[in-house]
Amino acid sequence: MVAGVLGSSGGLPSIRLVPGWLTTASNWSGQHGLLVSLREHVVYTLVAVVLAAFFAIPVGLVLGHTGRGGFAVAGVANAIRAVPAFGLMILLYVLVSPKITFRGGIGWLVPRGALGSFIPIEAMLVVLAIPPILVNTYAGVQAVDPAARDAARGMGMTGRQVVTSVELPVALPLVLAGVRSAVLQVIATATIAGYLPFLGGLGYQIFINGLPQINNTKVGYPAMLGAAVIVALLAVVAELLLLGVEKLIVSPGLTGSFRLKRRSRTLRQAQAGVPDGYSPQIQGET
Amino acid sequence: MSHVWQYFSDNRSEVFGWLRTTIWLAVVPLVIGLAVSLPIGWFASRFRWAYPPVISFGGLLYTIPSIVIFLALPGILGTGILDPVNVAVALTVYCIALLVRAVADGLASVDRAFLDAASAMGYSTRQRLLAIQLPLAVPAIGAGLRVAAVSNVSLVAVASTLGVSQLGSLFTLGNTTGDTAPIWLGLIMFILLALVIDAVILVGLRAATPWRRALQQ
Amino acid sequence: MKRNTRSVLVAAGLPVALATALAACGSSSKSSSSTTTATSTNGSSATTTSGSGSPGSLVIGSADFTESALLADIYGDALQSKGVSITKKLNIGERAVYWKAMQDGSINFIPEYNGSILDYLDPTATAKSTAAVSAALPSAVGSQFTALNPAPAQDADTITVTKATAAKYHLSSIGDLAPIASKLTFGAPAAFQTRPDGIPALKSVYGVTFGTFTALSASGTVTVTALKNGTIDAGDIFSTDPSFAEDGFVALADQKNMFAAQNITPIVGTKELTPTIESTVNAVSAKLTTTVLAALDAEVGTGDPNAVALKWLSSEGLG
Repeated sequence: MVAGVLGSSGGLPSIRLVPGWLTTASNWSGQHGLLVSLREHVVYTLVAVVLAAFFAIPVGLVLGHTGRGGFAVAGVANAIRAVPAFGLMILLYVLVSPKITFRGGIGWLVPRGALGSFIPIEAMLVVLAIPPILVNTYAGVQAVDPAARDAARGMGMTGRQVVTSVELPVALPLVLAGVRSAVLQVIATATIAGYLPFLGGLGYQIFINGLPQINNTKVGYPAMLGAAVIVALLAVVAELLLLGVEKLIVSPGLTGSFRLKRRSRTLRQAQAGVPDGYSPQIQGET
Repeated sequence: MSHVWQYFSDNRSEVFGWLRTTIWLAVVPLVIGLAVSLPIGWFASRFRWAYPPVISFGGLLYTIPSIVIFLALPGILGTGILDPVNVAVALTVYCIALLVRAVADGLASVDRAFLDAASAMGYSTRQRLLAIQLPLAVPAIGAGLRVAAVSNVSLVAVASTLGVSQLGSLFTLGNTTGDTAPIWLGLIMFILLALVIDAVILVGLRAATPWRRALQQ
Repeated sequence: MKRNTRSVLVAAGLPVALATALAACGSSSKSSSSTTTATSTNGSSATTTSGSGSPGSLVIGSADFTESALLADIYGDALQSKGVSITKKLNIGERAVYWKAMQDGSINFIPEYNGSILDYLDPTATAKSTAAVSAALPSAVGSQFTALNPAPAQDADTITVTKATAAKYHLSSIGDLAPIASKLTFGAPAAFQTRPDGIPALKSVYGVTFGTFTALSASGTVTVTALKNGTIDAGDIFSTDPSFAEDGFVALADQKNMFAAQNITPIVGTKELTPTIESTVNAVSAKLTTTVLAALDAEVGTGDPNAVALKWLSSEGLG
């Protein structure tokens, strides 16, 4: 029986099992079904990105406005990107979970008993999400046309008004690009959440249900690849959604009709004002 | 912390062996990735219809958890699962996914005025690309290269799940033995390694863009 | 303009040169997977041509936890001292990964646990005792592999609680859980929920049904931490795990043999098997008891398993 489904990929079950697994209704329902895993994954991602943006956008705005610390921002952001997520997660779990004695749940956010795992995983994901948002916010503010800033000052705006009325709106495309990059990063990394007790997410299907039981044709290999497909689809959907949000909230005067021209203008400004070694366009998108 | 240092001195030769492998795995896919990304990114920047599909595909590749690619590659490439080629190819794929965007954006962001002036001076399209557009795009591409380099370093850690002994083995060892000293050591070494590679790239970028120093004066 | 091109090429050349140098380093100190390459030290005929006369050669693999590496070192060093040519590829990863390596020939020797590997290869198997599991193993591994003699040593799944929990509910064996299990949380591998010797057996053999279940790997930092801080009340900790000594955990006795046997059972590629290999490995396995293995595990701690392996082998006269 086992030999019959071992496929051509050198002993692993056949990849043809995957579409069948994805279309079986029972795999979507239930306590560890795909629907629940998907919902958990979205929750982990949203919480992390919102918290990261809450911290990184104001900090980036202030640093960009004053023009200080650009080099430090890039350096710290890059250093954080280097941290392997799995190691950080285990360490945070060992350090933080003994301190958390609350064993209940928090609505649909945190399942019962999961708080001790939820806080470490979110801490890790927030740390991962901060660099793209922070770097992009800083660069976006730096790239604002000095003429616009001067005009705002000339009109009598205070520093804070300049930031909120001029710099933030103009920097918004780049800020949102940073948020998009952070969302992608978190979606990919949140797959390791399943290693902690009471946490799920799409990675549960990949690493907990899938990999250790890889020869089991009901769970195992098809679960692993099927869930990976869902992860990729989730990323595409998230990116499209955020692009839509961008179209809605970014001022039309910024988007312009010929996108390449806008990019080159901001690059010129960026090269004039931004410290050596990085440029806003990297995280930026079309 | 003394426990961490103790662990380091007890296992020094093994850790340094792992470090060598990690550097190899962090740098070679990056360089190959850059070489492959240059033509693809140029293509995406030159032909605007190509840009969205190419960039989206790259973004998609990046979200696939690496262990899945590690397990799928032997079937596709026909290599044995322990073959380091698997890890190197997977890491190269991730680097390409990241760098194509940087190259495309960097090349496209060069002010049209420069390109027109070069054409007016008699540059052929290819000369213009190599002598004008590419050097001017270096800061943008370089920034993307820094991000890709650092991301690659952290991805190497995942290769320990494939039995490729490198610094990420510190995490698996720490996880299975319940000892946090190797985990701390691993985190510290990964951060240091990334900072060093980042600095090397920065130095290279400075060498490649002498005109920026003149601008800053 | 030429100057700009040149500086770009120089800057590009730097990393390329660096990478080429490193690539050369990488390939000469290759492979990134093997940790030691050793040939026979006795000077006896360690030729690689197969034939009933030569001792043979093997590529020994292990999973990515200390005990597996220790066992690989033990068997590998013993074989090496008998003239077998050994290459070690340790800490490969999960079973899915190293078993694939076995199948495509990257490794051809692995120290396995007979109950686990049987369940992995044939999820419908129901054998429990050492004898039954060993009898079912040859057909499960197929003709490509041969399972050698099982050692007395077992590193089995256990249901483990903290000392405090055991004291609070007066627990010493799994059956003692029956009256209070509905209030407790159990952490074990996801496979437990469907394995014949897992949750279904808990109910049928002992009448124990836990209130809550969460998927956690057996042993490991996360599971030990979760057990210590009370996130789970009972966990699956492997019986030779050092955390029993370090953290005072209590393994509940499995008097009715609910868990399948998990004897250390080396599995070797049939093509590579020689009489020398078979006799050497079986001799080592005969001396490996659970007490010995637990003591060796504790001795290794986070240090070098190979040193501990060599010491034990020479004290037993095996290598």
